[in-house]
Formats: sequence, C-alpha cells, structure tokens
Amino acid sequence: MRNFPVTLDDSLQVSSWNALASVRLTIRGFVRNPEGLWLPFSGEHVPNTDRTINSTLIGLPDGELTNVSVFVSAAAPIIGQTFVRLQIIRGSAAAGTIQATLAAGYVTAVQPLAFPGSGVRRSVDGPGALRSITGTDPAAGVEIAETVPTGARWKLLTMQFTLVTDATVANRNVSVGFDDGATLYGQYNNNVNTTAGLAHVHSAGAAIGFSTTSGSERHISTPVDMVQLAAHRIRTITANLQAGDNYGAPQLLVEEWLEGAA
Amino acid sequence: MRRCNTCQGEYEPVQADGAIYFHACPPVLQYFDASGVVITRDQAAAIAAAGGVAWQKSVERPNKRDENPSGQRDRAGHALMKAEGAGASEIVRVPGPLDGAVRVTGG
Repeated sequence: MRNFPVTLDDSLQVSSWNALASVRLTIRGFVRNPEGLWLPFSGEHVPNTDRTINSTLIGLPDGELTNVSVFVSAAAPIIGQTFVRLQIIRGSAAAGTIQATLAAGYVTAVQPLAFPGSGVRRSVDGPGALRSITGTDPAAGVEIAETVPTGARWKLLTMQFTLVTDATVANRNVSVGFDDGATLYGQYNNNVNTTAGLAHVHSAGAAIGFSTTSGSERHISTPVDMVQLAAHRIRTITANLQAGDNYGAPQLLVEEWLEGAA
Repeated sequence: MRRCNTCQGEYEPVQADGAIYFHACPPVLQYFDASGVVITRDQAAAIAAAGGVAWQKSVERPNKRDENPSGQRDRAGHALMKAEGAGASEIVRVPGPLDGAVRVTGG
C-alpha cells in the first residue's frame, strides 16, 4: 500500500456523473498524522441526476492519506449509471489545483470505489448499463425521434414500436434512421409497405437479417455495434406518413455509458 | 405523464429504472415540388399520385423543446435545458386495456 502525503491545504474532491435518481454516496477513509495516529475522515456526496458533474470537497488533516472508499448509501445504481472520480485538490474548489487523481470508476450498490486498489478507469471502459427506455409517444402524423441524452453514449440493441395507419389509401414505408442531431448517417427500412387501417408492430435491431414480415410484425435490421454520442438521434422516417397515422411510444433497449458532461 | 406543448408528444419524465427522461421534439417533414418550392403534404401526395415528382425532408421543428442539459446553470446551480419550446403540461393518462396490444390477424 502506498500512502499519499496531504496537508491542511489539501482536500479530497469527489466528483460524480450519474443518471439515476436518489443516489447518495458516502466517503470514508484514514489519514495517518505525523504522530502516527490514524485519523478517520468521512463525507457525503449527492450526485446530480442528469449526467452532469457534481463535486464535493472533503477537508483532510495533515499526514498521509492511507485509504479512502466511496460506497453507495442510497438507491441502487448498476454499472454504467454512477461514475466517481477521487482527486486531491490544493486550494479552494474554484481556484484549486489538481495534485493527484487517486481513483475513478463506476460504483454500484455492491461495488465500492477504493484507493488504493480500484485504479483510474475511463467511464467508457467495459460494459455499459443495460437500459429499457420508454420514449415519447408522438402525436398522430408525427415521427418517432429519440435523442441520446447529454452526457451519455448509447448503443442501440433493439427497439419496438407500433404504427397504426389511418384510412387513407397509401403505401407507407417505415425506416429507422440515425443522425448526428442534424444529418442522417444511416437509414434502414422494411421491405414491406404498410397500407391503410392496419396496426403493425415494428422491431428494429442489430443483425436480425433481411427485413421480414410475419403477420402484423415488421422487422428492420440496423447496424451491429453502432455507438451514438450525445444529441445523436434514433428516429423513424416514413414514406407517405399520413396525418392520421399514429406511432406509439417506442421501447428501446440500449447499452449506456456516461461521457461526463460539464 | 407529461405532454410537450410544442409537438404534443407524451412521455414519462422518470423512467421505470429511475433515470430521468429528457424529451426532445422530433423533426417535422417538409414537402417540396420538383422546383424546390415548399408545398403541403396533400399537395405533395397529389403530385405523386399524378405521376409527378415531389420531395420530402426532415427539418427541425419550429420552437422545438429539448430538455437535455445545455451546459449552462441558473443562479441556484440548476442545469438549464437546451430549449424550453412552448413548455410542457402535466397530464393524467390512465392506461387502457389495449395499450400494447397487437391486432389478431386471421390465418
């Protein structure tokens, strides 16, 4: 174990990025002072819930920081939802200088972050959080569009939505498009048109093969391992969508990582 | 349940997994005739039905609402959303028995 020297000018800065409501973190550790006494310290930290950074400073006594742990004390985040970074800061929060980064990584209800031991990991290392998301139910005549949230990175695994067509005679053709918030970089359609007065369930996912149709189901194949950054979108693009055609709320299964927004 | 006053889309602001959902309005389709003049959807359909050429493309919705954090904060330190749009309204929506149901087809 390697201790880290600290003075009264130093603080432990706990920074977090989090996507889950009601998460609370507890920080505890020890500093061994010049007399050889082990002095415990502790603090609480409440992350923001919108994936933006929140930081808390915890004052430290003179001595050597021997260990510190961050563990979840409220809610139950899974890997990919609550990312924590521990740094030693000299000076105030606004004008301080970073002296060291002790640890960084995701914490969960059963996996704390610790110095020494955990190391410094990136928030996009390893698997992300598997999330089942219910999107916006658009008004009639409006396409589906889901936006990757600020501070997140998504990989779409599968997506399902229903289209109920009105009585207007027309061949609707449904495709799923991916854009960077403005410009499309992929559009994948089903090879069967949807006519008037039908209710079809569309499933879009990676590697489901050629577009097929089965009863009232439609399949749309999307790219494998495609990662989207914040503000990118997943949306339907429907040829001949009528004013009374109505998409239901999409259900998405995505793998999500935190990017670390300001 | 919440309804966006700009696009009328309905959404739950907190997902089943406890994460906050940030609604952003979808783009709108704009229609053009062969010379690039903006026309209505019905006009485009009529042109296409008569064998002519009409175009459609997605453009950003006017007064779009985007609830995602903008990177700016108010004096209390709360993150400001990218675009308020026309706001949003709280609504009560009772799930119907056919929500999520799929029509049974013969054969």
